[in-house]
Amino acid sequence: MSHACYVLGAWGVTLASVAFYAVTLMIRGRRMMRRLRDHPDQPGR
Amino acid sequence: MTSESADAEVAEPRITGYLGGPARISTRFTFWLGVSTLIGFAAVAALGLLAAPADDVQGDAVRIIFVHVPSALGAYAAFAVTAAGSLMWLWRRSLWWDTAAHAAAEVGVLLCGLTLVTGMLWGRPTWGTYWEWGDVRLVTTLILFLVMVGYLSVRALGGDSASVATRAAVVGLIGAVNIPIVNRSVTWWANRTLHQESSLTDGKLEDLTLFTLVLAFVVCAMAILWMMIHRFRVGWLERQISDRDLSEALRARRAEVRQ
Repeated sequence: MSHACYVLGAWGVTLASVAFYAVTLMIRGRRMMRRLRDHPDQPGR
Repeated sequence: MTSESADAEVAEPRITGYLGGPARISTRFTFWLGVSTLIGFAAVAALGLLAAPADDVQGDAVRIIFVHVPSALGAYAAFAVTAAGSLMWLWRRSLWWDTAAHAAAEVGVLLCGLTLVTGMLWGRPTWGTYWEWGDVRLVTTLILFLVMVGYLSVRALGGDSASVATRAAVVGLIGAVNIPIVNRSVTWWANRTLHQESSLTDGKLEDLTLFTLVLAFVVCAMAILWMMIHRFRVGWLERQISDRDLSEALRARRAEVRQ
């Protein structure tokens, strides 16, 4: 394999992993906020 | 104990953000931090993959330095925060620091895993092998990774939250002891590693390569800050929702007993 394959592999794995983790954090956060908002005792409901 | 005082004991906990304000998952600061980080990643990729010169010895494989070294230093920094948070939990029983320690550990495990993977992808074209068990830095980094995966596993075991935090804090401090060993291993065991000493301090890097590497450190630090803030908020909200659910269950049980 050429060096380019290793370089693109390393960059691809890094960027994809960070992007995936960032998206899961946003989804988890929104899910938490929804649980908070949808609670029957939540003020303002 | 009267029923009123029993109810007060399990009163609905007030859901707040970690600074006492309203709970939220994103702010204007984190939004612009995220946007700046994305622009920074694009700049580092353009410079690192296209503009920076290939190395005389390693050729294009040297371009892996822009993701490998910032990941490694980022993992050290994240685990140092975990150690500080663990210490504060053991010393002051600070929930804020315990949540911060957990958030930093998760980010650190991601970065340490990336350090191992990108290091393997760099080692194959440079050393002719993905992995060398005799290389002390590779093995100590793997041990650090496994200890911090252990930290997250202890967190996931469940049970009384204070006991979980205490057990995890001990594992977090054990992991932190490994950080200087990993970092100094190429000096302490110079004849038992394929790694060279720091490229940053030996003055052998080209100007543009050095500039791109420093930019990569800054962008990596911004990404770590963004991830830690978001993970911290998730952990803080999880803790508060869990406390609220427990209080509700206790109140429901007490109401059943009274009927």
